[in-house]
Amino acid sequence: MLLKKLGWWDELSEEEKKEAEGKNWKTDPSGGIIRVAMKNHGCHPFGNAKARAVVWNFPDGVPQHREPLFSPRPDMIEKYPTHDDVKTMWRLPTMFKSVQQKNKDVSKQFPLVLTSGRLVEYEGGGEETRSNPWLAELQQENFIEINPRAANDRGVRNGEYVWVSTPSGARIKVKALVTERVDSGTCFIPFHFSGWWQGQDMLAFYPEGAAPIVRGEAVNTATTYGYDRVTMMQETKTTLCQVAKA
Amino acid sequence: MARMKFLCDAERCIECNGCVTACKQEHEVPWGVNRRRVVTINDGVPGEKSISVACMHCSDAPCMAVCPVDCFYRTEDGVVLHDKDLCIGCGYCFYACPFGAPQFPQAGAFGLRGKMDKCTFCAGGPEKDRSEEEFKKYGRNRLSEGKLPACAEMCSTKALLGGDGDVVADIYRERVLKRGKGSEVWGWGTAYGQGKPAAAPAGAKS
Ligand code: SF4
Ligand code: SF4
Repeated sequence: MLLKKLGWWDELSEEEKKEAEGKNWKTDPSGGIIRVAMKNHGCHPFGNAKARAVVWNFPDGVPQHREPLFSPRPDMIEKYPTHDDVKTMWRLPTMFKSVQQKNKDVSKQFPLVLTSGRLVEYEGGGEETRSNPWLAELQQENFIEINPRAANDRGVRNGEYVWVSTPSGARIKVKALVTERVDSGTCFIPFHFSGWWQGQDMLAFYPEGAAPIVRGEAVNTATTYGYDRVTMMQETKTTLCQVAKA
Repeated sequence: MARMKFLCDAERCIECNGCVTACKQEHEVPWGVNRRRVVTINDGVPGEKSISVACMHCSDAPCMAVCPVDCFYRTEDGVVLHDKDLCIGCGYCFYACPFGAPQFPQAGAFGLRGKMDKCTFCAGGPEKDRSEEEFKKYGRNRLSEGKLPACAEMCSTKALLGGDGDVVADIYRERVLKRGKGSEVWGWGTAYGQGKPAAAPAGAKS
């Protein structure tokens, strides 16, 4: 126990001691360890330890739940609304609440949560991986993971092409991978592909010799508006979608 | 002499295909030919398991037994190799192999398949060790360089172990004791027989 080794233990109050016994910076529910280290000894947390601190200049001093702009749960939007629109964020007008409110019922049309992510053998956007024959061979087409129930409702069978449409108006064509890995309300598409645009292979538009060996639809063609309130990182990890047989 | 063996620990394999890629790169294996591949069972449901499969260099190798031109031979280390100059591409070994190891570069008319290719335990072929011809036909001869198989060396979770069978078995036994599960080693019975496999006599042909 670091606090004891440092000789700071007795600066905790009796109640704090009870809760802090055997705990550390991250797990002490009394907050006493943080108080003693920061207030009494001027320590400054970095890395993961910061996640336990109050960041006074962030819109949320401590992280709290806010529904995404495109949510399948209007009731959750009521309960946990997002931030107000910002007139200038890093000099740009950035919308939050107005987009969320406008799309409150969009899940009637796009009932499935679409999340994107990584395949373990792939690197980043996939350009390097798909240009290397030894790696490109491993996954030669982009796909959407969809639950057997959701697939059945749509008459989609494993290995068939489907159109995935999102509130942005985009449609992408990928192969269905019917699997219980995702639940019946969620779909997953890896983000390592590009070279197709809304169903069309763009091979002819690559400069000669520059096309990756395997190409597919880029999921971010279909992801929707949204930015992180602090970093302005774009929201390309989750949105809503509908899936239909191609 | 060490008896070389593979072991893939299904409790550890994360289906990253690092082994597959390491093999392709090390030996410049062409598109469509896979000396090693990763098989996933119960994909996407609880209990999902993956194993990396290649030629297991069996003690009593069925490929060796069925080959009509007798192109297989066994090295002092117990590695099962073949001679592509003798191979007639008949495909018998493919049907005999319980692990689906033998690969054929093409499926042409009249059953023409080309010379069989398979995992060499990174030990090359009958040509002179580390010669240009050996590399062209069989890939790199890492054993002669004092190195272990590229696939097992690459494995980030150390699910795939390749090397002296006794050492491999010791490592695995220790793991099973520590974690208290996953004691069945997939493929070992088929490849090396039940119980402790006897070391194959040097140069023996079955
Ligand atoms: S031992 Fe060598 S040839 Fe065999 S699968 Fe591994 S890397 Fe490929
Ligand atoms: S490198 Fe290791 S963990 Fe990855 S697929 Fe091969 S055996 Fe499994």
